This record gives sequence, structure tokens and C-alpha cells, in this order.
Amino acid sequence: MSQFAALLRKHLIESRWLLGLSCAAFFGFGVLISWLAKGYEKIVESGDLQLIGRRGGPFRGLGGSNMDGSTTALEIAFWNHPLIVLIVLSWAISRGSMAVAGEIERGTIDVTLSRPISRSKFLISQIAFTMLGFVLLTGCLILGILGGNFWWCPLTPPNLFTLFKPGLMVLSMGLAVFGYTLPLSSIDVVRWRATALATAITLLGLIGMSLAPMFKDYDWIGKLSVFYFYAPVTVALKTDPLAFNASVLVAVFLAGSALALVLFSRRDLPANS
Amino acid sequence: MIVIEGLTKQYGKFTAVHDLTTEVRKGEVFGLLGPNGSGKTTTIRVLIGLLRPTIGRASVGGFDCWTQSRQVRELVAYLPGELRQYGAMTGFMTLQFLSDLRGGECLDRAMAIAQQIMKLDLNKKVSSYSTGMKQKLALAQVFADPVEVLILDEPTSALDPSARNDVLGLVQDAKARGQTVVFSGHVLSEVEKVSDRVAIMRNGRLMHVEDMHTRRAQRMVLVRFGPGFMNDVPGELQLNLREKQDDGWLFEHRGTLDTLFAWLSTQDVSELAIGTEDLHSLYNQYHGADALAAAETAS
Repeated sequence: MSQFAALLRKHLIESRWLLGLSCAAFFGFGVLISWLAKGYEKIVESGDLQLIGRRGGPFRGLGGSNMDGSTTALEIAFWNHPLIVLIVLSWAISRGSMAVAGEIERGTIDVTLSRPISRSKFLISQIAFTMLGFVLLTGCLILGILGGNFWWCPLTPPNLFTLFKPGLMVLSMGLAVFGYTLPLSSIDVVRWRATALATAITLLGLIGMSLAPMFKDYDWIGKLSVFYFYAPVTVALKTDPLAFNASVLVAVFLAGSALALVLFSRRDLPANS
Repeated sequence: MIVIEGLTKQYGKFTAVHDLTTEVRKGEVFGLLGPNGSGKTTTIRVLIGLLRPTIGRASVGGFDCWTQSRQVRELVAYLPGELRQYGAMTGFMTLQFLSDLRGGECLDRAMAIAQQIMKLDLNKKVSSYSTGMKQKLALAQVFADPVEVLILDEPTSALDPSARNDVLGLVQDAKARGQTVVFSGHVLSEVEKVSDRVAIMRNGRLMHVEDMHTRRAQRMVLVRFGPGFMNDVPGELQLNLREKQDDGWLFEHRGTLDTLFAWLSTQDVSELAIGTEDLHSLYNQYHGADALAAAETAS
């Protein structure tokens, strides 16, 4: 087995529980989304719109009165649900903080980097595995929805291509968060600090995006948040913003990864004691 | 094989290693002695490219330890002093992983050492291993690696006495195979047993390098002379006075026993004891209470 494959296998063994449970949660959530969408459609079909007032509670706030009522719009609207965002953020920040700072804190980086592998190969393997994790997570969400749609048969189920576009959004947002977590991890020796800083940046982004529109002179602050560019419903229904939004998020990821590679290759790796 | 020239390593204002210059010859076992914080581990981490020298340079097999660290690590197998392993893996998976990072060619040998010498159950998870078992697993891999240099940072620290002997045996096997070994430790008797040369460090400085072959060839001779002794020791006997108390004379002796006994038979000797000297006395010259007090006064 090649060095790179051995590193990927090592990462998989270490992260299998977090990744496995996250994938299972995403798949289950995909099925649930499909079921909820079908339920909503049944209420609309019955004409008893009063029911939406009571039982349609979960849908309120997703798109307001102007919300597209198509199955695709309903299902993708759930991709803004905190559960999905939280799992993506958890995976991004935990993998990012573990990549270097976590390995130094635990002392295991000595074992790996005393073998003849370059630091860049080690870090690229961490990046590659995290990307693979996001692909699996997104894939499980999409598979869950497709499976649910197959079972519940909603009116206008989205096809794989339609789901692929918001899937790319989930992937891009996760990578962007991972992208700014990784340099923090690459200069630190303890995991908690990299995690705390990345979490603070993420929360500030979320708060900034939420509050900035209330202050006209400062609404640009909202555009600094990765969440500003996370628009799964829009990209599912319109093609236009996908390329730009995904590009911005991927650019954050690439810039962060490049910075992390430079920082990591030049730093001292002290003993964990 | 290993060349260190003017190496200084600073962490901020703290100097962990100060102007260290030494070399390790190909095929020798080089002992590194010193208390915690004397700079041994920092020196070792510079050698395998984990730390960048602040001043000076180090090289292994002609490769610079910082700019060509990957090539250095092709030549070197390293056992960290503060050993941590991947707890989610089994013993076998750990050996497989570490072997794969070196091309996969040393797995069979590592398994053989782990199972036959170290008596490890490789199907168990590493997280269920004791500290000593984890150290044995890492040692199995290090001694299996097809490399020219072994760098062992306190390799016996967590081992039971029989396992310690196994490790010392493996070090001697490695030397017999022509491998160069850097052996850092705190147990003087172990370092003394396997080393060809021993370096003693204190506060980041190299204080002394002792050739153990010369040291082993040296005898300590304690003689109590009677009143007839003329206070005259011929130079050809190669007796160097180390210490004199009343009528007791402690000599270092590197000459032949025949000539020594021939001369003693002509003297008024009331007591005679001949032995060898272990590393403790040498170590105490640099780390004993008197030495430390003198160093403090000097600084």
C-alpha cells in the first residue's frame, strides 16, 4: 500500500465513528426530509390549509409566503436546517483542528512524521480525507432523499442532478470552514485552541450575516461570512449563483489549505510533553 | 554518519541546546546521557527534522536534517521518548501502517520481533495495551526497519527488566549488523553496557564525550602503602593518581598487570584492590552535587 493510501486508511480508522454516525444521520435526515415534504404536499392536496397552520409548523420560516412549493424547494429548504449545518461544521472543525494541532497534542505526529514522508504529503492526506468525508456526507444526504422519494413518492421529486447542485453547496461550505480551521491548527500545539478559534470565527460569521442587514452602512460585513454564500435552495432552483458561490467557498478552502501547507512545512514540531 | 556542527536551538529566550558540535561514527552505538532538560531530546528532534536549528546544522548520511529531512528519515528509525500510538488501531494495524509508510518491506520482521521477542498479541487494540506494551510495539517496528541509523530516546523507560535486556540485545544485534545507534537514556548501566562512546550533556551543552572502549580498558587500583613506601611511582607503569587519602592511593591504570604486580611486589603494600569504574563517577563529575554547585558558582 502506498504511503498516501496508508495515511488515508489511518485517518479513516480514527474518524470512523464520527464519520459513520454523521453519514447515518445525514441519510436518515434525507429520508425524513422526503417524508415531511410528502406530508406537506398531502395537506396542500387536501385543501385544508388550516392544517398547515398547525401541523405545517416545521415549514414556517423556511421561505415565507413566497416560498416555492415544489417538492425540490421543500426538500432543499431543509438543507438550511441547523442539524445539517451543525454536522457539516462539526466535521469541518474537528477534522481541521485534529489535522496538526490534535496530532501534536496527542503526540502521534512524532510516530508518523519520523517515517520518510514529507510534511506536505501528510497534510494533503488530511485534506483529501476531509474532502472525502464531505463527499460521503453529502452523498448520504442525497441518497437519503432519493431513497425517501422512491418510497414516499412525492409529486415532483428532484432528480440526482438537481440534488447534486445543492450538494455541491454543502461540500463547498464545509470545505471553506475546514479551510480557515486548518491554518489555525497548523500553527498550534493544542487542539482546543484551534477548535475554539475556528468556532468563534464561524459564530461571528453567522451572527454577522444575521445582524449586518439591519445596519445599512455595515451590511458588507454579512458578505464576509461563509454562510452568505451557502444558498442550497437558490442553487437548486436557479443555476446562476452556483458557480460564483461555490467558487468563493472553494477559494477560501484553497487559500486556507495553501497557507496551512506553508505554515506547517516551516514550523517546529515540539514534543507533546 | 551523523554530524552536528555548532547546533543551537532556542525557544524564544530559552536556549535548549547551546553550540553543540559532535559526530557519530558509522556503526557505533552512541550513548547520550543527561538529566531531563539537558537537551538530549531537542538534539534528537533536530536530527530527524522535527525541529529547525536556530544556529548551526546537523546532517545524517550527508543529508541536511532540516532541508532534506525526508531523505534523512529514509535512513533513520526513531523511537520517541514520549511515545504515543494510535489507540484505535490493533497492534497489527499499527505495524502495517508504519511499515507502509516505509514501503511495506519490514512488516514481516516487525511482526516477528513483536510476537516472538516482545510477546505481544497483535490482534488487540493498542488502546488496551499497557505503556510498556506500546513501547515494545514501537521498538519492534524500529528494530525491523531497514535503515542505517536507529535513534532511541529512552527506549527502556517503560519496560520490565527482562524486556530491558531484550532491548539491549537488540541494540547489540543492530550494531553487529552495522547499524549506527544513538541511545539516549537515564539508566547509566544500560548506556554503559551497549555504548561505544558516551556523550554527557548539561543545560543544553555537551560537557564530555567518553570513549567506552578506553574506559573499559582502564582499571582502578586502590593501594594502601606501609611506612616504607617512597612516594615514587615509575611513569612506565601508566598509573595516574586520581585521589590520595592518608595512606590510601587511588590510581587509574592503563598498563599491563605484569609490570604493575612486579612493581607492587617490591613495595611496602598493606592493602590492594583492583576493579573497574562504572559511568556513575564520570556522570557525577558533571551532574553530581559538587559539580552542579561549582557550575552555579561559575555562572
